[in-house]
Amino acid sequence: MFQWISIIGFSVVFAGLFLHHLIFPCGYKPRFTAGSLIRKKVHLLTLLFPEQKLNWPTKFRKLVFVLGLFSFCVLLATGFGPLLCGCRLHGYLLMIHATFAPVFIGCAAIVAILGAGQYCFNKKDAGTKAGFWVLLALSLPVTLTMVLSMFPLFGTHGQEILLDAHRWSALIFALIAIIELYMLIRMEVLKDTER
Amino acid sequence: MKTFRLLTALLLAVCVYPVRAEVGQLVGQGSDGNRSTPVHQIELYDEEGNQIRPFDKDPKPFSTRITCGRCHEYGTIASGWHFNGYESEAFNDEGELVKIDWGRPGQPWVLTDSKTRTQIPLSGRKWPGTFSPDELRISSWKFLEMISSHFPGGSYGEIKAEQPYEERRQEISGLYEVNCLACHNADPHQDQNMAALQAARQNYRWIPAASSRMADVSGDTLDLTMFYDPEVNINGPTMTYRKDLFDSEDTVFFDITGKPSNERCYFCHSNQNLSVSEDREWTRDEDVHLKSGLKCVDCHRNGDNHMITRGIETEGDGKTLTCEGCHLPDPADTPQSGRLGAPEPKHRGIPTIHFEKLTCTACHSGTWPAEEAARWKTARMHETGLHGPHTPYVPQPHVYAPVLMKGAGGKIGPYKLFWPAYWAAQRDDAMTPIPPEQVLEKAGDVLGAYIEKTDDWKPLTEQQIAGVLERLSTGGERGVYIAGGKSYRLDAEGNVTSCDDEAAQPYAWPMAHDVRPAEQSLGVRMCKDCHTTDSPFFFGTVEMDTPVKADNGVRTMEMIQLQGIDRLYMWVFNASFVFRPFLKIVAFASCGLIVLVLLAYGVRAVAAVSNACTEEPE
Repeated sequence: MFQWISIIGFSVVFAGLFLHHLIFPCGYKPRFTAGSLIRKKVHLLTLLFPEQKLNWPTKFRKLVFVLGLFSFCVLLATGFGPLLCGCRLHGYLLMIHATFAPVFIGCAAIVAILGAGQYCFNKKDAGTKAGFWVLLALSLPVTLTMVLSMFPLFGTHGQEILLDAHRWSALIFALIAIIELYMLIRMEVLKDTER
Repeated sequence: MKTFRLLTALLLAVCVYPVRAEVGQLVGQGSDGNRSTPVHQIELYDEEGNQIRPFDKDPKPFSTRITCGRCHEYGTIASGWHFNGYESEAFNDEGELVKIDWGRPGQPWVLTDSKTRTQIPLSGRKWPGTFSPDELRISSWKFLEMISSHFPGGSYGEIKAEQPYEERRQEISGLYEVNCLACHNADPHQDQNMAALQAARQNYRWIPAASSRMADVSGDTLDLTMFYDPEVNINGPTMTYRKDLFDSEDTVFFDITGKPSNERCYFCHSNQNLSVSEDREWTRDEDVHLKSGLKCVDCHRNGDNHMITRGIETEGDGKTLTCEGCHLPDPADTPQSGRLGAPEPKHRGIPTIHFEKLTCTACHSGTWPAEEAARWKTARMHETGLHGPHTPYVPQPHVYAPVLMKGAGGKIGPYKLFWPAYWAAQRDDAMTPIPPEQVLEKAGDVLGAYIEKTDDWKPLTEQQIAGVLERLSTGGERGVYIAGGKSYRLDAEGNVTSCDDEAAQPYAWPMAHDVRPAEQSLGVRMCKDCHTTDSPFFFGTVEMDTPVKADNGVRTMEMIQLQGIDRLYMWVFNASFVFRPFLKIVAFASCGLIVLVLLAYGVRAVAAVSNACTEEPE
């Protein structure tokens, strides 16, 4: 069941974002010429780089964010990739998954400390800000469900519950994170095009 | 009135008797529900059905087929696991003869010969990796001779000999009937050592009487000539029943138990770890179940058909008599777990993937894995438990354990194994083992006939292999020697070449006992019990036992090679456990910081909301 819900969840989110992008375009025009598409990709790539005008703490936050983003992509690919193919996470993929998990949660903690101030609610971008706080809260069950299972605290049934909790919370986290990223990218693109 | 009652009784008898006869119900079959053991004060009968009386002149040995068979379906019992070594049919619980699956490979019989450096797994059950006695041209009579020291009768003991010489010997020795007393006699006089001695003398028909110590048997059918006449019985075995056994009605009391004691099982099912010196044998513990008060037969049960449950889920009706059946909760409506007081294991901190990849026995049975698998002896293969001046010294086969390898069910578990070694004739792709006598006949001098019978095998040089292979390669057949996982052949120039060969793979069978207590099971000290870069579980070695003199010393194989796991992967995976503490620290620290941020901004949010609510509108 989890496999099918994951497939449906990712399909719905990606289709929704694609539709949203079609209905509410942002950025360069015309939209579907070769030059425009290349320009968009390059622009997206440049979003990953810290701007020269930023101060060192902000640059550091951006670098940590980029590292966290990369870790998230790895975790997403290794965690849900095998599942979508109908197999389970094991072998080298499991090792890669477990290697990037602490990197990701470490980055999340640093971004939370350095960037939380930006996400205080006001009248602007409420959706993006809400997404940030939900993701921050969700990162706790995603992490703790796995870390706690490594201690001799939970028996077989408890281990099963922890694994299920990890999978479901990770699925919700991943779906919200994808939407959040989409909104962040739109925000940045809109900012750049306004300049 | 009396006449009426008599007629009614007669009518009932007429009606009831055919029903009982129809289902072949004997007194001893099934159960009427009463759990007490019936007292077996019974008459003794010889194999011709004549009752034995204490003052008979030259009394005959009693026959279990006739004596026990008067109340118990001998044929049904004889089709059970212990007495059925080759038939593909057995009686089910409903008394129907059905096809049986030989199931998971078990401990085979082994043909060993130190002179020819041979150890071949034998079984009539067609288990993969074994050869049937027929394939080695071993007659049932010869096979019985090989295995009779630890044999409960029936099966090969009751096959009619076909060769004239063996047929004559069988007439003299009698059949080796199912020896019910070997297990069910609760009398401490029951002596399987005596049974083995009588079997060695080929006094097969005297075994039940002699081993139960109900009679003294003297004489030896091996000494008798082919012209011996059992009817006249001059110089043949003589026996004297203990006179105090018989009561005034010439019946005898058998102290029969439906639940044989562990001692009875141990005679054939004992194992010895040779890494523990004989003087220190007393330091070895028994199975934790036995120490908790259970008996072997509490789990290994059977019905009339004696298809004893082996603790395998897929076999018979014994699902609940497996480890899981007693120890784990059952989702069925009627709870089955906790049988016999079995505690439910907690398995705290053990990821559930372990239960998919490992058998319960992997962590709980056998000895704690060591860097090298130890040599073991088993009662049946090495004829242990025989005492007296003729105690044999049987070093072969060289059995290694515990070897943690992947079994037929796809799970890793502890096994005992040995490496087959034999000479074979290859024609096209088919390879047939050559019986040791034939090898000796053709190349005894090359192999060195000086070796004593009871000696272990001596090293085999390349020149010797070449010499034997040359003599075995005749008439379109090519000689091959199998040993230590390799096959050896002669090339066109007459040099010995060797290669890894599927036919030379080790023969392994599961090691379910002794079960260790939970506190001594793998994982009790968490991951490091197995997940280190040098853990015996994965990287322990087992000797690739061979008599062939290797230039580079003893060849070994890592257990991981037998587990079907990529070595590099497992090494890296185990190495990654070094970083686990860091992972935990980073994760907890990060979560702590995130909680602080959430709390800090959460408090600010609550304050902001509170302020917004209390501010008066301008």
